[in-house]
Amino acid sequence: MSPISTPAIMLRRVEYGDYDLIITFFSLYRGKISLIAKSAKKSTKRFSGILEPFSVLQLVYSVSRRKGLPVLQEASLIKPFSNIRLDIKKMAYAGYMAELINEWVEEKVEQASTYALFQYALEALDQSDMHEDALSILFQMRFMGLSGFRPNLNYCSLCRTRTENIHQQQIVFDLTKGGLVCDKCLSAASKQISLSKGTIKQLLWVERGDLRKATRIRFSSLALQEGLAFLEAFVPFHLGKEPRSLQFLKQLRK
Amino acid sequence: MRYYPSPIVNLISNISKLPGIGQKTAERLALYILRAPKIEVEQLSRSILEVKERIRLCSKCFALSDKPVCGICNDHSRALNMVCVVEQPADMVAVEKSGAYRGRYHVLQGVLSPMDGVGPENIRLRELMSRITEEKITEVVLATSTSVEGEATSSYIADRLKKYPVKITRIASGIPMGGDLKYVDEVTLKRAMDGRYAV
Repeated sequence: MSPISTPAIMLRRVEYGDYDLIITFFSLYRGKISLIAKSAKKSTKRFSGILEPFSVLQLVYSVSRRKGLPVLQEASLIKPFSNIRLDIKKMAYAGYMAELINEWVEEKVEQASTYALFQYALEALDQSDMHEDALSILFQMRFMGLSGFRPNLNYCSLCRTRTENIHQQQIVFDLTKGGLVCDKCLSAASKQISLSKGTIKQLLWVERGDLRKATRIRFSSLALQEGLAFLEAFVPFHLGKEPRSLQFLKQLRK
Repeated sequence: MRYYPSPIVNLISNISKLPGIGQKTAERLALYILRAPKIEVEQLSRSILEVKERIRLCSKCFALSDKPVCGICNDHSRALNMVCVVEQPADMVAVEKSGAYRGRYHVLQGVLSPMDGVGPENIRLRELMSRITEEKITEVVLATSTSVEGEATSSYIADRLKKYPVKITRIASGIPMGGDLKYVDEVTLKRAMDGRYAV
């Protein structure tokens, strides 16, 4: 088969044998792909210094007719995001986003919108365009929406009363129902998180607003705190486990 | 493998578990061991067992050692107030081989990696902080690798060390000796250019 060329963001790498690497990329045209980079650990010329997590690369790889991983033939650096590597907090957030994509996204299925979101988030992180916590909220809200797990913040999941018509200022979000539950419908079930109306409004804006204007949004400290607590419970609940990078982030915040 | 007696089959199967050794190489090595003088084979087996029984981590720097405190930590001719922070014992050996450093070391035994779940509590960071006050360290050389994880670990340590009265330095990175400029990646080349010096 003729070689395939695509821009891609590196998600993770695993050492394979003494000289090779198995690398997982999130590519623009082929979605998530795993490639083997032969002699990547040994050669100082072929892939020198560019096979690093979160870098945007232009890849050329070939798929064999026989069994086995596609082989990475060529890689050139488009964006290294050098500032992410110099800040542990930025790296932790980038790692969390990369892990969500790695865990969630189906292999070999093109997902251009998710790719654009990931690249946007890495650029904003690199350039410090947004506070890391606000950026994480934006990424998680949009990523869950694109993955078909958009949290219902518009109306009560049971009686369908619209959020603006619910009288209380703090509204409960029920993880098992995937949406808000008003006071009248509220049962003593577990896995509930409280969100203020102001936070809900901001979460809805970052999920639907124009991505190019997203850097303008200013979260209040309460909205940041509530939004992060909500999403960092909502995402692992649907993923079925707590991502390791989220545990790392929590350790770092201590 | 039926054509070999079972002790040879066992030896081949055990050797082939070693990294980078396939079935054919294992077979060649097993036949070499069979032909070698008995004393040579005894020395080999004794040294393998000795490594497992005697090698431990130095209680100060966490490098590999056969004593509670390693040779470098016990060497009083070295600069006692300098500590070079590396990821793994093999990195310490690489710096030692260069002959460019005469201080002490601190082996982190890992590197911060969010996706692998390796956080600050999983590497020897707390021990580094205690050494700085206990051993009156005045300079910390950060010699973690230049990978994303190594760089982030280095910046994290530098940040944590700000409250201590120590000079913090990071090893330079740039063009390797004999390196061809056209094969050097953009990040390294930029750093080399930023770190240029007058001649």
